[in-house]
Formats: sequence, structure tokens, C-alpha cells
Amino acid sequence: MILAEQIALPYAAEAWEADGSLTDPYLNDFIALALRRFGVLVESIPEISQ
Amino acid sequence: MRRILIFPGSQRRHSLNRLLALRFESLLKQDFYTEILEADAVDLPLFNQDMENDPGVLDKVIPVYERFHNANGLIVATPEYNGSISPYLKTPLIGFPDCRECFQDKAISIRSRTNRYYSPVPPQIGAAASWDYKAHATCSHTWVA
Repeated sequence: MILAEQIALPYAAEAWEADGSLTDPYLNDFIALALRRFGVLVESIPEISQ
Repeated sequence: MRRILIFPGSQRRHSLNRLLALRFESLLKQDFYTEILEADAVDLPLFNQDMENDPGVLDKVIPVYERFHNANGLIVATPEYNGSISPYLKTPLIGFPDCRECFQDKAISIRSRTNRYYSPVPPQIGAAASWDYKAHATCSHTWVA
């Protein structure tokens, strides 16, 4: 299964903070939301014994 | 706690995608055990079938694939290089040795921060298709252009 989502984030270095976050709060929220969806996907997979 | 491995697809020290990978790690580490596969831990030679059974090569390859295998989720933050996949990303895609089990039943997310001029979509779709073929994995993509 492939889930696809696309967003244009700024390439300009000034739009990014040193910790990898963006100066635009909307885009930061988008990244956080996309990661939460991915987290749900990971949680659905049985834990791997090390 | 489930494990997420974050793989920056660039070896460049000041890579923008590595910065994105660090951001992903900071957002995920509250809920998951996260680790970043650093470039110096992936000292893999270019794929060459003559080297597939070379003990010196396998000593480098196997620990890397074990880290893939032990993760429930894999996030790849990668640039495209002139419309194609970075060589650093391509090596684990090819399988060295062929390591389909390492990517089996994983949640895989490919994310890219790159220049809009060079569309990130074709190479990353290629990478996703390769992983999908290899692993029957679940992929999610965010194109960051």
C-alpha cells in the first residue's frame, strides 16, 4: 500500500531553523501531522523482538 | 516501544535533508525509540556481485541491514540528484546482499526536501516502488519541494 501526500515546502535556507523546523507554523503543523499519521502506521505493526 | 530508523539519503555534512531528518527525530522520540543512521555508519561499497560473498564487505553490510531489520518503521529523508536517486540511498535499495526480509512488513515513509526545479517525484516514486516490490511494505510519502 502506498499513501501519497505532497506539499511544497520552501527551499530557501532562511525559511528553516537550525533544528530543522520551519519559520511558518502552518508548515510545521503539516510535518507534525504527517508524522503522526506515520506513527499510527508504525503502531499497527507488531513489535520486533531484538 | 516500537523502533523507527531515520535514514538521511545524503552524506553531505550540511545536508538539508539531514536537517529534516533531525526534525523528524525530535518530533517522534516521545513516542518511539528513534535513531538516525549516520553516514559514517554506512560505509558500503558500490554494489558489485563479485563482492556479494566477500567477508570484508559482509562485515560492513550486515550490521547496517540488522538496523533496518530491527526497526518497525523507516523514514527516508532524501534529496534527488539531477533527477535520480542518490548513490548513498541506492545501495541499500539494491540489496547488498539481497535483503528483502530487512524491509518486510515495515512502515516506510519517504520524505524529501529538494529544489522544485528538479522534481522530486520521479526518483522517489522509483525508490518507493523498489521498496514496495522488495518488502510488500507500507509506504507513505511526503514530497517536500
